[in-house]
Amino acid sequence: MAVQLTVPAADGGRRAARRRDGPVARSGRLAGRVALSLLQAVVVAVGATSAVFLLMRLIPGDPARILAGPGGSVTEEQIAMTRRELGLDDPLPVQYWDWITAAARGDFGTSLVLGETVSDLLGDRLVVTAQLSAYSFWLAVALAIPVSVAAARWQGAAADRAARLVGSTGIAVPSFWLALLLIIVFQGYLPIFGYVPASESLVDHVVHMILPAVALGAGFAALVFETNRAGLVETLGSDYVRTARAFGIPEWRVFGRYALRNAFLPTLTIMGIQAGALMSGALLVENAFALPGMGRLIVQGVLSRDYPVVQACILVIVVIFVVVNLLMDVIYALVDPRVRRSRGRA
Amino acid sequence: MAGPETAGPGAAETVAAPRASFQRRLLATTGQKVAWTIVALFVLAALAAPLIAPFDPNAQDLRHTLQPSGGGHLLGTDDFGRDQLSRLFYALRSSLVIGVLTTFGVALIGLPVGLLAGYARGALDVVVARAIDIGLALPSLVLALGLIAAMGAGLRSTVIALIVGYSPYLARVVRSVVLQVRQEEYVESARVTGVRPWRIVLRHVLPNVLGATTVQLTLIFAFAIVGEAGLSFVGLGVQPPSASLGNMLAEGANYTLEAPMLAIAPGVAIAVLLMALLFAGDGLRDVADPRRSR
Repeated sequence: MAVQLTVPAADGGRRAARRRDGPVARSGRLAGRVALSLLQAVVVAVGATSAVFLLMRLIPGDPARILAGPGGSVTEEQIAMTRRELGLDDPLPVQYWDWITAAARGDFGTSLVLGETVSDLLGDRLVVTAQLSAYSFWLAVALAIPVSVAAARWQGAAADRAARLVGSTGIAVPSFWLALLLIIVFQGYLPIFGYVPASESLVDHVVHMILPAVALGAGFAALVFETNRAGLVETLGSDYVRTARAFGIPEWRVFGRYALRNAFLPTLTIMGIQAGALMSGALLVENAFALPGMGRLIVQGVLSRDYPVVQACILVIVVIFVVVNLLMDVIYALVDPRVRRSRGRA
Repeated sequence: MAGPETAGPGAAETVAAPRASFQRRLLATTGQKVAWTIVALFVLAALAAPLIAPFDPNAQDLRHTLQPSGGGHLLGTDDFGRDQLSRLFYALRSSLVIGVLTTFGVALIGLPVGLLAGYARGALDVVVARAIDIGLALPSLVLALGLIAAMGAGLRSTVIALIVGYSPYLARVVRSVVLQVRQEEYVESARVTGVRPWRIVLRHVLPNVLGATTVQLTLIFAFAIVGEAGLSFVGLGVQPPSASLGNMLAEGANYTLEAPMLAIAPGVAIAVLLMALLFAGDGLRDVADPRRSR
């Protein structure tokens, strides 16, 4: 076990410190870190949803006037009554509170244009968008992580250079254009447009989702690959990895225990930051493949200035993004042995 | 690589792997030339669009719609019989205008906010830093959609939406550099000797931030071009008949079977320009901050 004691000392003696503190102190630190992340997430969520709320108040046109009915036939009194019913006369913080608490119960109001409740409009569409984003995410991770490990292991080899070339190309290809390219290539071979729920036919579901997931996930995969490879190359060149190798620790263990663990931290950060880009990309890719997700709904909402719909879509995306980042923070804390200082991400 | 700047953690790396680092730097400079040449060619093509475009980009020829390349139309014609190549040159104009305006806007907002957040201590830093976090929590495209809902679709809204969406990214980078720089001894001693804060920021902090800012702005220029394409692709950006890379793709999406070139050509332009810009940005990073070169 002497090896265990000496080698990790190279990464700042973290493990020694952990051993000294014992598991209780460590789990206490972890809890503290998670609590801090949670607090930050709440602050960000409140700030971001307030921004969305205020933004929607900038939309020209009086929602009460639109809802009350077509112009001419309604009296000013009726409009004033609708305003009161909608709570548009209340102070802004009260309106925000009403909106956010109602949203938490799943009540997003009624579409000004389509006449349906927004939660009805959102329901199935949210599922499609979430599925597309999740498939792309896991497809990208399942592909990029092993390839980046192999590329870093055989650095400079032809395969590594080829992977890097594909990676840097992949970053520069917008998902919505890749979608069109895939449509051009696969039209006639695969069913391109539309959506089949997994409950109806799992095979058809996969067949319909595979191209959109590839289109959306490719750029993300390229980014994860580049980040993880760069991180691995850096850690593999570091003193503690050299020391570990000098001690005769098997190569697979050097990778798994020392290199990958440290290289994975920046990759996690990138994955969290890019989760939002992945979901926004989904809105565009859906449009290319005519998938009945939130993409079409939000674009229609923006064009017709249907603010309850736009507001609800943005709210849902922001909340998912904040939660994903919170999860990433927690995973980060679990992976990163240094987490004991109660410092923000600054 | 010698010099006081590399006396940090980077110095050890330099000593450890001088050969690899030299090779990479050499590669960077050759690739750098190619990347900047491509960017320059795109800018030239956009500026000279009226001179080099073989046809009027909006001239319709309804007897020759969706033609493949040939017959004077190098990239064929679209569903209105308009020359694709000419439209592509004019689309580059839209993209570059949006890219340049967005980059300027982001610099005007992101740089001062980042300087303020990084240099001010206490409550001001906390508030501005959280505001940046909140800005980053709104995915830029989604934020752009919200702003366009409020302002209506079009070029002006697209630029404003992209500026608001991307400014937090610059602000965050600037803030983190300022946080490092303000620890330096010369800043400390300037403070101790009673130099006024705004003077310290302008004379000692700002010059150190410019490198990272330039790199970030190159990336934001690239993002703005993709951002425009994405927004116009769903019909919320540049409005037809004005050509933009995004609305050309949107049109091409309707004819993937009949005239695939309509969807291919504008995308190739985006991807090549983007790759060149990202590569140029990487090179700038190496020059601006030798410590962070990989």
